[in-house]
Amino acid sequence: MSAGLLQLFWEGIQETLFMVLLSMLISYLIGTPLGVILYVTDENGICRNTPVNTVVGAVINMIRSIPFLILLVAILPFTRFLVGTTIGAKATIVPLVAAAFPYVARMVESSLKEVDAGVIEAAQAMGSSALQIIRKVILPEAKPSLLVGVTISFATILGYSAMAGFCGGGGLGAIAVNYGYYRYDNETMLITVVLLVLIVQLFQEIGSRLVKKIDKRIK
Amino acid sequence: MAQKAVIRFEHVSKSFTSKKMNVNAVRNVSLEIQKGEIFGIIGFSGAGKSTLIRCMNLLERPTDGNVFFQGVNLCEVNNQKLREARQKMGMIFQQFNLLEQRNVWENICYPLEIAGVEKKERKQRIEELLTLVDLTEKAKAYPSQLSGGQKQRVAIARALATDPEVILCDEATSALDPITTKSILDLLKKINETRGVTIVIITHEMKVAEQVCDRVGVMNQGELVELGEVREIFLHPQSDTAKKMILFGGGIRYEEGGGTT
Ligand SMILES: Nc1ncnc2c1ncn2[C@@H]1O[C@H](COP(=O)(O)OP(=O)(O)O)[C@@H](O)[C@H]1O
Ligand SMILES: [Mg+2]
Repeated sequence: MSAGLLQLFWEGIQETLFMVLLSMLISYLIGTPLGVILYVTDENGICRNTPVNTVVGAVINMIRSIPFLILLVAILPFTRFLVGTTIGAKATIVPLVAAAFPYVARMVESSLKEVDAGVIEAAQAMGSSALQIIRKVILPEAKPSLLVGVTISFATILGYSAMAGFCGGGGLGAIAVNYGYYRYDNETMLITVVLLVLIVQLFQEIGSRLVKKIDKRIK
Repeated sequence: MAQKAVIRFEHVSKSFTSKKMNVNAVRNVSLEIQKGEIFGIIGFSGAGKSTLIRCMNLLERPTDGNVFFQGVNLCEVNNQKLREARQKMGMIFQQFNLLEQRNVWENICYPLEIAGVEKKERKQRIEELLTLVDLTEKAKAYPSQLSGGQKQRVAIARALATDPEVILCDEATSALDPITTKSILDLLKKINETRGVTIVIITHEMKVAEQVCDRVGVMNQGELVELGEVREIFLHPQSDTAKKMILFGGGIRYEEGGGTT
């Protein structure tokens, strides 16, 4: 393989990781509070509030039901407004976040739902406020499951980022599209796929190890 | 009675309404729990015992009637006051309900954090409680590393952390073997005697009531069908429920003319 190609892949990896990790960070900053809201306002939640739950849930479902490529195109004006361009890794972060934060919200919600109701009840019986229960009970107790969610979200967002390659997004996805799709360069295409698989595997592995390490339920 | 009631129920009812059905879990219960006593509530499964004890700290809000704690009507106070009242009522559960991601020390620390107790005082309090429940060596262990009996002792220490007036026990020994049950009951009794903490025990096991309670109430289908001294109820059960419970509960330890326990 030529040095030029190596360089290309290396830059692709860096760009992909930059896009995906930054999108994840922003998606979690938006999605976590939303997930908490969905969870606590649920019918069995500690701050039951059906109108809020219905509205937030509906908005999230709506965004989630839009296919990623269509969402990407639909928000192009918004992307241009925010970043100044619609091409490249930085610009791709906008649609990635738009697609990922509702996903993250649902992911967080489902992790929180795994927390034993009895533990929350015990915290209520001790006179905790709703905020104390969220901060000191629900989130810490759900930590291992939240972390599993992070690794799953990573794979999903990585997939989205590769799709964004079709519409001027950067990273490995763009390489696959430019070389594999437009130039019928199967080898480069294959290497990109392998790299994407390896990245997912690597993060999955790191994630699982971390979960094992922090989860105190297992000896 | 001249004694002062810590908890007083005034015609308390609780029903659960859903689209499909309506369950009257507690029906018009009035009772007084006196300071310093160990009060039992017995009845078969589904009788409404858990719902009743959950009305004591308003984990369930009664659909009717009033709940008084130290003379204050909990049904009428705001959230802040309710939380303060709850800090004076510890609660322990059949499933222990410990924070699984916190070790023993941190679990006992939780109510102290909630109550805003200072760090230095927390440490002292936790050490004292660990000694009381005999778990000093397990301070750094996580709940998953403990036996059922040890978990319940942690739960008891946690319930005692804020120096409560009352401890509510919902089937606290039902998941434990007989020997561990005895040790937990002995611990509760010791806490009652040395600290004067009022204890409310919910159980479907006659033996448990027999071992530690001063007075018991018998529940059936949401109603309090009988109430009195343990000994009196064992010797002269009036209600069908009490009679059945004694029959199925095995070993009647009280004999006419003098108790043996
Ligand atoms: N949250 C709830 N929603 C609907 N029904 C309930 C709820 N909690 C308890 N019940 C019903 O109330 C009745 C009494 O239950 P419970 O108080 O748990 O009895 P016990 O503790 O004596 O076994 C049962 O019929 C039970 O199904
Ligand atoms: Mg029960």
